[in-house]
Amino acid sequence: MRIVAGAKTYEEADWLLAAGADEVYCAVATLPNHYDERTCLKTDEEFVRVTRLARRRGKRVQLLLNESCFEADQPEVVRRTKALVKAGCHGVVVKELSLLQLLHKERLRADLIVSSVSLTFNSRALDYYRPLGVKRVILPYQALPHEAARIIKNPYGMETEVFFHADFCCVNVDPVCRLDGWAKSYQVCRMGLKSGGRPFHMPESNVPQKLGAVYDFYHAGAQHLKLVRMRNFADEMEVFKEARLMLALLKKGVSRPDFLRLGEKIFFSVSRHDKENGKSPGP
Amino acid sequence: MEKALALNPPEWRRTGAAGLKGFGLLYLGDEFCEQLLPAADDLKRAERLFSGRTVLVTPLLSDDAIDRTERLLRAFSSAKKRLEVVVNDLGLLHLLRARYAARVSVTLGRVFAHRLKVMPPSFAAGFLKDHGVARVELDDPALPERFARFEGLKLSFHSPFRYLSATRFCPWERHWPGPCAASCLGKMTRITHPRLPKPLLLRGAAYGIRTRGIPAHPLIDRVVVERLPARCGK
Repeated sequence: MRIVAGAKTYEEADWLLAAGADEVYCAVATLPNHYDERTCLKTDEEFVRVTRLARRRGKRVQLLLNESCFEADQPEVVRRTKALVKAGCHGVVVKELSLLQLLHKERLRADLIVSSVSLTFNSRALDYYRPLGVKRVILPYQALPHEAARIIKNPYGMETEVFFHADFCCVNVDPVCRLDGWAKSYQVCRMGLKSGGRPFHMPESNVPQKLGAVYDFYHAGAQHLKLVRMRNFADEMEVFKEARLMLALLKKGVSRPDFLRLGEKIFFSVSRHDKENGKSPGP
Repeated sequence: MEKALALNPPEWRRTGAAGLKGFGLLYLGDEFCEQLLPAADDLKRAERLFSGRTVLVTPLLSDDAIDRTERLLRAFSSAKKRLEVVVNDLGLLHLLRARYAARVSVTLGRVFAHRLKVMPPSFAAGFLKDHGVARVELDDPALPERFARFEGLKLSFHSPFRYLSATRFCPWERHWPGPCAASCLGKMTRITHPRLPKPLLLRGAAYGIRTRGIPAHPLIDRVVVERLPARCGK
């Protein structure tokens, strides 16, 4: 399994690639992507610098285009994407079917990667993507290893990328969730909600389930492990180190019970996990 | 205006023919939980007890759930008697186009409607035509006008529940998709927070709000009624 980690700046990409990431993925401000500008590289030039850095180290870079855009903006998005690919970007992560089709038609010289927010929960969707030249599918973080077996073992040679326990992502199915827009707040799903006067937690996997998913995806044959971009890069550095340790355990061939036991110790050594999971009642 | 009653299979099993009085359509299934796909017996019972038309309602689907859906398509659709299917999953949509185009009538569900609304209009028009989509399900009064530009498209409007979010992790039984004891049956939870504009309701695997009335729009020719429990639990 290769590690694909998100970077918000050149410096972050530098650290991640030096620390062992096989690929980094970046959004660029003003190109359509799923997060806000604080999680983006500032300019196309900064992205090009990242691709040069990655190439020097024999690593790869993905460009995020994982949000929809107006039809009138698509030609400009395609033009800039082609220029970034020419500069060395190896893969483009796309959400929108229209943009996917357009980039395929333009014969983009980069791997087309279907975003997790395209919600690929079954192998039948791959039949749709295959004629569009898709090389890789990122599974939604609410897809489970046993459910994804046919996607992972697909006959088309499409690779799969899975999230490293998605506790930094949304609790509910993204982008089916529109709670934040409705409430004009950030991560409503993690607010201190109440029901009948008592705390209410929108449920998600507990720690053993998260660790179990990493173990099962690895053994199911998923090729890439995705680490999300985090607002606080210190958190991301800790999680990156955790992912490296977990992968080392998997490569060593530890049993599932041992992986869960050792993994839990490593999991709670990460300060943000401890803060967000250790003290909450959880599901 | 057509009138449909939406029931998931456990609700349907509790409902007699009298419960469908006044409705010309039965929406059987669920748009948010694949555990609530109907069984063949549910559709057979609908054929037996209900004089109106039954619509098969489906959510985002795993491979296993698509297999179950395909078994229903084989058994309950034909060129003579097209089955209307509410689709929220791209894989199922593609399958219907590839193998069942002559046997089904395709309606895009509320989850897919949000995907459709952000597609560039010219692409969306081709996409709808290509997949034989005749109708779109909505529950947000702001949306009907967004779909008015698509020629021939009809709209259904759901009331009184507008969904805002959904999960695949069962909030009632606290597990991922798997064996289901239908613990959500007849239940709804009211969720509050000072920053929420109004109380959020948890119903099945969907979070949403209670709405009132159907917007007056020329494309809306079907109302889909969802019976909410009279009282909310904790």
